[in-house]
Amino acid sequence: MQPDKKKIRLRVVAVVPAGIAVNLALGTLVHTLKLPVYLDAVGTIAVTLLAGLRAGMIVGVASFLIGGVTVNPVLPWFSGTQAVIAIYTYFVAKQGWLRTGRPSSAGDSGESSSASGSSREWLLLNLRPIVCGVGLGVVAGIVSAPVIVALFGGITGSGASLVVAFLLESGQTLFRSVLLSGLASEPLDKTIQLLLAIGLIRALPSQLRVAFGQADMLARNALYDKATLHE
Amino acid sequence: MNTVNAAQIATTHPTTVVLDGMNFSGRTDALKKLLSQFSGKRASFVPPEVDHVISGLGATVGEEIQLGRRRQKDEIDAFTAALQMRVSHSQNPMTLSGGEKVQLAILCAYARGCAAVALDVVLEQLDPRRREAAIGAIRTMQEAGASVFVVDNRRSETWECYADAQLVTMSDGASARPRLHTGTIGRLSKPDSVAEPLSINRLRFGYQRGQAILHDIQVTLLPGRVYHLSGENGTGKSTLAKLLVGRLQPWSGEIRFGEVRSQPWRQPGRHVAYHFQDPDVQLFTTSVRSEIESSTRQWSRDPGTVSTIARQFGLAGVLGRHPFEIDSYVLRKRLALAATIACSAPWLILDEPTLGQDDESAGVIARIIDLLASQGRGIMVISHSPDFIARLNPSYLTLRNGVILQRGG
Amino acid sequence: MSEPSPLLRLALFLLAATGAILASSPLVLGAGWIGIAVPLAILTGTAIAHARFLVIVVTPIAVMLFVVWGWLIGAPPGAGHDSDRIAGILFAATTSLRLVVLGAAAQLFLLTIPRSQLTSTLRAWGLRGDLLLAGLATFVFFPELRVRADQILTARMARGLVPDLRLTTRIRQIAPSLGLLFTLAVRAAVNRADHWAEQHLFDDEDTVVSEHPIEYKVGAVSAILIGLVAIWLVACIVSRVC
Repeated sequence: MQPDKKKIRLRVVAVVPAGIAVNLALGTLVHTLKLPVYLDAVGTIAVTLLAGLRAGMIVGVASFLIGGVTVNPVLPWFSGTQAVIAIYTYFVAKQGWLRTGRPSSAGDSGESSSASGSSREWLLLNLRPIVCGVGLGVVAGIVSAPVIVALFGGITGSGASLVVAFLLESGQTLFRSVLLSGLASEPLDKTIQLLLAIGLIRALPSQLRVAFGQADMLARNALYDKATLHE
Repeated sequence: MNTVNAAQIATTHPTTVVLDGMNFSGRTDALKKLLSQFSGKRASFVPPEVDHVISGLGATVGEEIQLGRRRQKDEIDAFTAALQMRVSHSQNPMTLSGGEKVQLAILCAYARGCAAVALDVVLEQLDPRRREAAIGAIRTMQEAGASVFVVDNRRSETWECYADAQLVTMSDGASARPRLHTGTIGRLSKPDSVAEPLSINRLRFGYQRGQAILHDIQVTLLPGRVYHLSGENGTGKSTLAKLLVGRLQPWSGEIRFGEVRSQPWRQPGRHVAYHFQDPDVQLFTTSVRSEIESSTRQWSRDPGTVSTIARQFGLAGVLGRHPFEIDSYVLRKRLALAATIACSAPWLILDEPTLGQDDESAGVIARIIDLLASQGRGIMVISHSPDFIARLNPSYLTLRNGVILQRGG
Repeated sequence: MSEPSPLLRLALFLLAATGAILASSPLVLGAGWIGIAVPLAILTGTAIAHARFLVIVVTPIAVMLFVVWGWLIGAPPGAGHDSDRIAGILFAATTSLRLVVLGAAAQLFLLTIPRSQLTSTLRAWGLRGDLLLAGLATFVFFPELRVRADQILTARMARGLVPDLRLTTRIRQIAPSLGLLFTLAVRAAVNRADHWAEQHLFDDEDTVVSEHPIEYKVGAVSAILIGLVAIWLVACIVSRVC
């Protein structure tokens, strides 16, 4: 094996704990603060972008296995959802669909910009990653539904459970209630997570972003620009 | 830039080479070139960010030493004693102090049978006694067949310990060097930031109930003076600093600024700013400019203020760069120091402010501290460098057995 | 000599979890929890962690389960609304207790692994090469993360960036602190990995070893645990079948 490939391999191994820590730290924090989001896959998404699919899947699955012992023993049953999150992220990143932008007043280098900043401009500049986030929420909701039905009787204690209750009351079956509730809550959560993960990567200096061998994928998503790299 | 040819420095191995010179004279690059002669063999480059050579795989100090071990247990025990390293093998390596991590890094390089070891401004993180022990241990490594290459800004304090070492002076690429400004020092902090006397009365604190680290801290510190706080590892120096900043709340006792009794934990950082030994945990933004600005905006809207401070600390050339894109530990340390000094808090605690800085830079930092004191701020310095402390002519505070002993400077 | 061995721990956890999933009676689940899990939690020192799990995780879920299936729907899943309120309550009870037992099993068999046995445990579970490295690095990383997070918060306070302790102020610390934590972690990962490569640490197999090789035995403790889990599993299967 070439020395540089060996170094990259070892770096990928070494960055896995960072992703796991982000997942568990954020997930625990929002749960403690009783916020209506999960934020438990930001590390999975970030490491998938930085270090590739295999690393992202390891981060996702391991987070929930470890979290199952140290934080919440029901987490391991959702490891499959984490794996799917990594796969989806990798797929959309490969297509270059995660390019984000800031309105021109923010002055971030390398990003397209038009008129002065406004919410509408921000929305337009970030439409594709937002749509990807919504898609990720849909996928996560579908994958999680069977586990919630089989293990939790449809109730996970979150705000989504109230939606489940309402749908059950209105005559929907359990599975359909859980699915629809998930489809209502997951897209917002996963969109936030996707944008947060991209924000974490933007906080890294450029040379660190590409230290794990994913320069091409990062460049495709405007997360790496050789021109801004200082020698 | 003139550099000494690394291949010519050491023709016979094992050897010990000390690279002397100013910051940015190419010493770190020379260390790496020297190590590159040992490709294919085990080598260890220990940077000032010594965390980066703690493997992150050993749950305990004992496991860390076991990782890749090639030497026998009795050899390792003897080397540990020579280092004067007193750390429990069951402790997590990441919870060690900076000096203990340096000792662990040196011990692991020995235990793994490294053919070459490079120590880049790490010895100055040790107190003088353990620094001497580490230099003695370097001799042991050489006798065991390893070559050791050292950059030590405090070489003059311990040169007699480097018996038989080769001394190589690196040439200075003067025009390119980002130097601290040695002329008149401009405005670095809030105008009229005059400190009130700091009185600590019968302060008591511990991390676990029933086990006080600070028993009865009783001292009054006056603004306009520089104090040097000393004490062995674990005596509570950083704990005292955290109490004064407001990160921790004491069990009992009081803290006063002037006549006013203060509760720092309600308004952290209002009276006391603290500069950590490790600069990297204090760099929160994505550019050098915004890092300094995060402090100066508390008292100045003038963009020239940031430029003045940056020029003073030799950071003018990197204002737009991400702090962690700056490979140089020396510059990141200066940035963290500048940002702390620029805070509006009237009292400053500076923990090892000259780490990584050459003699000239340490002198400028001493002048800056003197100037800040003369402008009315209160300054407490923690440092293992006797030369630097002497330049400050401080009053001496010693933390021992949970109390402070004071003697004038 | 130490027990139980890593493989036995894993087997016991999986069997206990299987039983919990199969069991269809709240009585069996409740008896297993009170009669086996709680005493073992007290003996192993995991009682506080278990209590925290019950209060923070299970209680909100249990309350909602009873509200939904015992009151709002008044029947278990698949039955008509208000057709069998008792069955609905039993369903809520069964699901709640299943979560309790699953949690207890994870805490009893996995949370009690001594730190000194971490390496040998992960090896015994079949982790090798990169996966073993990643696993070890993860467990070692958490204490480092706590130290770093504390340092960063202290450093922000020490620069006057945390002017008070209101909730909104503390929430505003999350983004910059998380950004720096992540940057430091990624940077450390790159540098550490390069250091591993420089020291040729992983050119050989078996570089990662325990300080003291651990010998496991199957003694009285293992026998008792096997017996308890076996009884539990049989009871769960019977409750399912009957």
